[in-house]
Amino acid sequence: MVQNHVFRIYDLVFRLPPHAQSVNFELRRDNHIEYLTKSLKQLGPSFTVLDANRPWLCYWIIHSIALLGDCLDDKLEYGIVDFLQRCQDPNGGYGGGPGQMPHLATTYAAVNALITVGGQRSLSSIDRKKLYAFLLRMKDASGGFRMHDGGEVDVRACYTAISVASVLNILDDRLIQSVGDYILSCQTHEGGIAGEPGSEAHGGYTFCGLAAMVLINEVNRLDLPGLININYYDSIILGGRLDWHYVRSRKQIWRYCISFKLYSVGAASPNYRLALGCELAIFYVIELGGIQARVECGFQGRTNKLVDGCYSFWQGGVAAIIQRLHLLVNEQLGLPNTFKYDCGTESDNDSSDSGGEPYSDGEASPENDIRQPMQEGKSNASAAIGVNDDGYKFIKGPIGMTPLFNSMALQQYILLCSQGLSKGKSNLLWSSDY
Amino acid sequence: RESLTAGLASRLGPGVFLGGFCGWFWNNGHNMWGCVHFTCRKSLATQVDMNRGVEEERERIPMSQRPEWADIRPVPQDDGPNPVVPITPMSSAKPWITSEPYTWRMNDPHAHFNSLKKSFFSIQGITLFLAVNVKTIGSSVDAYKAEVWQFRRLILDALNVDLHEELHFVDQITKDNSKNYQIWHHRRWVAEKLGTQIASKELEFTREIFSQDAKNYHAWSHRQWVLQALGGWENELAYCDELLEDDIFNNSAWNQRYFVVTRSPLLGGLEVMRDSEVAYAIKAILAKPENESPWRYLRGLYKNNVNSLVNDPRVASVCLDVLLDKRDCVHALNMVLDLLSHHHQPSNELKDAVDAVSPDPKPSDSNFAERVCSILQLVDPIRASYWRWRKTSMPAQD
Repeated sequence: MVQNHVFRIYDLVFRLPPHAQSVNFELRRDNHIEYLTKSLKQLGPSFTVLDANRPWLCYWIIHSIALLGDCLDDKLEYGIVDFLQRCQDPNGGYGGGPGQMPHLATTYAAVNALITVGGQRSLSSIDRKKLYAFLLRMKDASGGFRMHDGGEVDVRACYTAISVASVLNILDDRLIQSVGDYILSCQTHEGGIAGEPGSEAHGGYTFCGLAAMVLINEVNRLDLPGLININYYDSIILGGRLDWHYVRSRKQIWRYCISFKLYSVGAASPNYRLALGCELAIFYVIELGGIQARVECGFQGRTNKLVDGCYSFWQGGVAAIIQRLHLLVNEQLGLPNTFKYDCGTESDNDSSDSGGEPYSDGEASPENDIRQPMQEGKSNASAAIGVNDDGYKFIKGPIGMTPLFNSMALQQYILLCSQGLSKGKSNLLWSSDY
Repeated sequence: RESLTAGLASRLGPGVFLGGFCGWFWNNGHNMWGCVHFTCRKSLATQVDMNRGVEEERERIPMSQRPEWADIRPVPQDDGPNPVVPITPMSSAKPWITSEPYTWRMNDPHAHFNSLKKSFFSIQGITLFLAVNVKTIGSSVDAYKAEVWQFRRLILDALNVDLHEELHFVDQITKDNSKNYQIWHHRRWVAEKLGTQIASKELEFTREIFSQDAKNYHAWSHRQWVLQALGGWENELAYCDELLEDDIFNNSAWNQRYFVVTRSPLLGGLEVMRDSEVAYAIKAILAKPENESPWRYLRGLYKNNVNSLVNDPRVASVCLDVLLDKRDCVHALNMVLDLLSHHHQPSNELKDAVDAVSPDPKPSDSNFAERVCSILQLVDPIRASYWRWRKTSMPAQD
C-alpha cells in the first residue's frame, strides 16, 4: 500500500516535463520554518503521547530551524531556556517535562537544544556538575549506562551519556570505563551494532555505537569494514519505500510523519559542537478522528526490512563518520596508509570547514592525531582532558572519501515522499491514509 | 509516625492489595500527616483501565470524578508562564479534555501521580506507602512515561505483591504497546523477580507477539534475555526453523539462529555447529539468492576465521551456482569480492560465470577483482559509490 503510493509519486513527478519537475525537488524552506516556529508555540492533541518527550520536540524543532539557516526571536529563546530549566532535575539531568524524572534521552535532547540556542543564558543554565553526578549514577556495572534510574541498559544510553558528557566537557575516565567493551559486544556477526549484546544489527543503534566509540577514541576496536558493508547495504533507498507499522491486532494504523532530513541538503554546520552535525526532525502524527493510535518509537533499519525516512539520519550520520575514518578503515583492510581523497561527483563539501584538503603520505597533523593507530584490543585508559575535544576535532577532520551512498537519490526520496506534493502550503505530513 | 505506619502496614499485609485495601497518604507539605482512607476494589475506573487499555483513554472517567482519588490534591505539571511546545488536547465531548491547558493538566492523571510522587519521595526513610490504584498507574496514556513505571516498581517492591498478577496485567498493555521501551523493561524486571519458573511463559508470550510481528525488536531482545537469564533453550533452534520456514527473509530469525548456535549451552558452540549451519545457509541461499540474510549468516559463521571461509569449497561453489543460474546475483558477486579480497584463487569456471552476468560486453578491467566491482556498479547502480570504493580498497591481487 505504502509502496504503491510512493511509486505513484515518483511516477507522477517523472512524467512531468523537466522544467516542471524541478519545483518538486526544492526544499520548501520558508514553509518548513513557518511550520516549525508555529509548532514551537503550539502543538496539537496528536502530540499528547509525546508529553514525556518535550525536550525532544524542542530539540528537533530548534535544530531544524538552525539548519535551515534561520533563528528564533528573543521571546521564544527565553521561553525555551525557561522551559528546559524546569525540566532540569535538581540532582542533575533533564526529564521529559517539568518535574519529570531525569532520563538520558531527554537529557541529550535538552542539552543539545540549549547548545543550539546558544548564548550565555542558555548555556549557563546547564548544571554541569549535577549532570555529571547524574551520568555517574546511570553508569552500569557492564560498562554501559541506564536510560534512567532503574531503567534499561543499551547502546542508546551509552551514546546519549557519552555525547552529552563530551560536549559539556565533563567526560572522564570514570564515565568512559568499559563503555568500549560494552559497545564492542554489541557489534553483531552482520557487522552492524545492536541495542544489546546478541540482538539484531540495527541502523539506529549502529549510529549510537559508532558515534560513542569515536567520542571515547576507541573506534578502532570495531570491525569497520564489516560495519560499512552492512550499513551501505541497508541504507539504500530503492525507488523510495516507506516503512510503517500496521498493528493488525487492534485495527489501528500507525502513521509516520517524517519531516525532512537535512543531512544531504543542509549538511553539518561547522558551528555545532556536536558529535555529528546533522539531525532529523521527526514528527509522529497520530491518526485523528476516532481511531487513537500510538506513537511508534521503533527505528527500523535492518536487513530485509523496509526503508524509512528517519534512517536518512541514522545511516547518513554513520556515513558522515565513516568518511572521516578512512585511515582506520584502510588499516583494518590491510591497505597501505596513504590518504586518498576521491573527489568524485558527490563530495560532501559543506560538511566541514577543512573538507577536501589532501595530505601527503604520513604527514602528521593535529587532526590526524586522534586517528593514530592504537594498540589492538587496548582501550585508551589514560583519557586525559583532551578526550573532551575528540568529538570536535573529529568532525573538523578531513573527509577521506566520498559518501558511499547515493546522496542524490536520498535527497530525491526525502523531498518527494516526506515533503509531499502539496501545492505550496506547508505540508510536512503524509496526508494520505495508510 | 514511623512506627504507626509500620504497624498499620503489618496489620494489612500484602494479601489485602488484591481484594481491597486502604492507603495512607502523608501530606508532608503541610507539616502534618493526613490519613486518607480509600478503597480500591475492582473499581469501575480500574476495570475500565485494565480492560480497555490505552486506546480507550478518552473514554476514561476523569480523575476528578473518581471517589477513590477524591482526597488526593492533584499537582499539575508546571509549565511556567512561557512554555514552549505546549501540547493542548482538542475539545471534544469528553468532559475532562478541554482546550484549556491548565484544566487539562489538572485533570491529567499525571497530576495525581505527581502528588503521590511528591509525598513518596519526600518521606525520608519511610518507604512503606500503601498505594491504591496501583493498577491505574501505568495502564493509561502514561504507559510511555518512564517515571510512572519506575514509581510502580517501587510500590510493587514495597507492597511485596504477587508478581504473577503483575505480569498478567502487563500482558495486555504490552500487546497494545508492543514497541514501548518502558513496558518491555518493566516486563523484564518482573520476570527477573519471578525467576526461572516464568521462562516458558515468557517464551510463549514473545511467540504470541511474533505471530503478529515476527520482527519486533523489543520482543526479540526480551526473548534473548529470558533464554540467557532464565533458560529454556531446548526448542529454540527448532523455533528458528519454524520462523524461517514461514519467512526465509526474516532477518530477526536468522539473528536468533546465530544467537542460539553460538550461545546455547545445549549445542556445543559455533565450532561444533558450523558445518551443519553452513549447509543450512547454503540451502537457503539456493532457494532465494536475492535474500541477503543467509549470505550474512554464512559470513558470520566464519567470523574471526575468514581463511576458513575462503577455503571452504562450498562457499565459492554456491556463488558459482547462483551466477550460473543467472538469478539475482548481487550478493553472490559481493561474496566473490570478499573471497578475492582474502586471496582466494578463482577457478576459470567462476570467472566465466562472472563475466557472463556482466551487462557490459567489453569489460575493460584486466584485474578480475576490479572487473567484479565494475559489474556490480552496473547491476547494482544504487550502490555504485560503494562498489567504486570497494574497487579502490581491494588489497593487491596475486
